[in-house]
Amino acid sequence: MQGNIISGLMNYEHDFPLFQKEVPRLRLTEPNKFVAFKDGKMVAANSSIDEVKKELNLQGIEPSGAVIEFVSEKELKVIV
Amino acid sequence: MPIKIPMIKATSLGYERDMVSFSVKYGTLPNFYATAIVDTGCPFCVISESTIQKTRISYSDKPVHHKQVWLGGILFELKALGKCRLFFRDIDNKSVQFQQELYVGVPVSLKQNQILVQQLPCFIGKDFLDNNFLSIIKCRDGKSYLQSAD
Repeated sequence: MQGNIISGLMNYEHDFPLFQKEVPRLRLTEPNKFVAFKDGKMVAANSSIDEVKKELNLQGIEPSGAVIEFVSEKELKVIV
Repeated sequence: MPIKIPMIKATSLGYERDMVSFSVKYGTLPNFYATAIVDTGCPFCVISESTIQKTRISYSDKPVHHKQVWLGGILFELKALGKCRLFFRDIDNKSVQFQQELYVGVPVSLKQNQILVQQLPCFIGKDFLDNNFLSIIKCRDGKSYLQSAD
């Protein structure tokens, strides 16, 4: 189980920065949508996260293991 | 041996932040993965609603822990998920496990800024750092770690 967790975590850690690099382009092509990234590439995009999950399930991808982030058309700057 | 968990610099809400990725085990559901801002100014560990929505965790009926919490100009209530198991990867690629109370930040009104609500990040808060004697260590080579004191 521990090995599965580490490999899942390493896959997620691999995909997250790749998704971040793609955000400027995604703001143009997939504005205001939830975008799913898995294995280094975009695998689904939709304005509804439920639709993204459906698409991932169709592709045999467990949504909880994928990077799924909302990409706004314009970058928001917020101090939290 | 002290615990040493590598952190990443990633952009969230327009600025570079110190963040960390981890896996969460909740009940019998598959682990979910998240990346959170490590924030000593945040009292709790908060999972964003958009992150919890990618899982099958039912959170609408969870007890409200704090009724009115402002975060980034949005009014939230924090729902208690209870104690979860959090898994991190250390510098030797071994898993490090912690028990931690997690909360879900749910916006109080759907009329609030939806674009911002969807993008609010997860937070690893002061409670987690205090409970596990972890600090943010910044090295001269630019790398950062969550590291235990002993």
